[in-house]
Amino acid sequence: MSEVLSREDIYKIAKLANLTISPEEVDSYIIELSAILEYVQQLNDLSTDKIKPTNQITNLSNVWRNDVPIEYEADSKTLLANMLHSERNYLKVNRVIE
Amino acid sequence: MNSQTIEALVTQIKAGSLSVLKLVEDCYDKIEAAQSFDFIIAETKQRALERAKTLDQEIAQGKRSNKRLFGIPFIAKDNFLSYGAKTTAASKMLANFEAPYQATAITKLEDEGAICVAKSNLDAFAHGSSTENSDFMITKNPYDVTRVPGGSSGGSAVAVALQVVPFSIGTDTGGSIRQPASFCGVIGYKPTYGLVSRSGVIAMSSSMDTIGVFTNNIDDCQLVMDVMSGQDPLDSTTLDSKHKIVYPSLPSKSSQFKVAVIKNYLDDAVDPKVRASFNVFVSKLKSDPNIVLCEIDLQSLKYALAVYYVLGPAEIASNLGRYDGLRFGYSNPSDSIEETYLSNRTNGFGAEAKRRIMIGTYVLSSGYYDAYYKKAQKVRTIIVDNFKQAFLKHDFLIGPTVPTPAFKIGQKTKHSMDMYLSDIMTVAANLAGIPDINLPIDRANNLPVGVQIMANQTQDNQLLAFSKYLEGKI
Repeated sequence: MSEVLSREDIYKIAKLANLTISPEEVDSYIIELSAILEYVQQLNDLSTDKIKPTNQITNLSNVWRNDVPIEYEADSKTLLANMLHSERNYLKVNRVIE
Repeated sequence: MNSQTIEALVTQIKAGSLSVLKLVEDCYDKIEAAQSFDFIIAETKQRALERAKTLDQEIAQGKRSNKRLFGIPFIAKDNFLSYGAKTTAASKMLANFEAPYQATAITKLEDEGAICVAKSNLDAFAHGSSTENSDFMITKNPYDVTRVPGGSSGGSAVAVALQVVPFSIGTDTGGSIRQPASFCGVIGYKPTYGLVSRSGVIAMSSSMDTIGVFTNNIDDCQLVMDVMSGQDPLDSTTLDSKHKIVYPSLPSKSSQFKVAVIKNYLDDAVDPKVRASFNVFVSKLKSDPNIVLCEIDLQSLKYALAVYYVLGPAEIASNLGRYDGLRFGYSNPSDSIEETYLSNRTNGFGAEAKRRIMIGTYVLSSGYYDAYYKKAQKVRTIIVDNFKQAFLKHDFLIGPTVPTPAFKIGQKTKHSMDMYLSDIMTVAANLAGIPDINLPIDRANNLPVGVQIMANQTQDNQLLAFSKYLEGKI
């Protein structure tokens, strides 16, 4: 099986995806991801020059509603409880801008 | 209890001859007795028992109710946000997540009097075809505990196969209801895309995710789908309610069913025992005077899995982008915000979620978008058109649901491609957004074999009417 992806590719994809890949994991990612990409190469058997891409399949467009507030049950206490750090109804995070 | 239809149970409850509390307590006894199958993540006992008592009181006070699922217990896959227990998606990432609101599907069932008794196991984030990817436990097949129940809705399929509850709900993005239904010998229904609201269901691949049901008979399937389907202001992809499923069925316009066997679903990859069972099923259809049967070649379907494994991961990578561990989810903060993101995502996601995020990120990345993502979207168009053409001539398309009966635990975990291939005959329906049902037809060496029946988009009522026609005949 040819390797479609290099070590550098794997590190680059991981960076884009906000994941850390350990050196031990890189090899298995190369094998697994290459096998999947190899399999999907068969799509190139089909000529698709004149075909439009499908983004969604039920042809709904511009679903509108009246701009009025609705009663919504989401419980702010639970929302806050799911946060590791919160203060006075705010989410608390590390400093973003130094 | 489940040899009876839901309708019959509801009638007895309303007549006062069957206590809801007893029914719900029975469910917990059955869950306990079936513990070794590892199909339940959490019970929602306190909430369920309270709801049961309230409903029993209504009956005792002589109140009349039109609720069609009055007192009926059910189990939900643990990727539905619900009260009464944590909602985990079987992932370490959400192991401590408390839902701040409920999925519309759950709320609709509760509004009709149904009672959620437990949350069932799945492949974490619904990524998988065997329920082995759960971060918590591996669910066992009810017919052979050394085999998988299928997935990703494996726990929900087992719950109905073991008759713990009359129905359970699941999600289906590439076969996650139909494939475990086939492996566990129960009915599994995947509706037209957009027929059931996905508000409050943990998103996987948004252009393909659907919500459906497991049952032991068509009437129950149709009744539950009637309750769950319909437009929802909280999900702008839901279809107009004129397409919703109705129970009982409206009288059929036609007395003849035009059915085509998908020839290319019967190639060498199909297990001989599955093929034999399927051929017996086809011969029964052939001899039925109300069925016009022919064969069809849908060449584009051989590309369905490749399309699915580009578009699916792309949408997964996008949907899982929101998991940063700050507002909810696994959190192991570091000194900087960047390191916190990395730490939370790297430690919170399991191997399969990470694999799919990596693939999806790659096919969407600069320089590869056209070659992979856009290419797959175009081939999706070819598949959709192929189905549209087929449904001009035929009402229903049939084939085996899965190429094999349930496989052994561990058999396909070494190489992810092996596992992905078990969805090869179910993903096409998700790409086209069409309804598809698994009906159990046979046993091969005591393992269930299923057939799938597909219909055109929004023809759900016709599909269920045909399934009902076949029930008892097959």
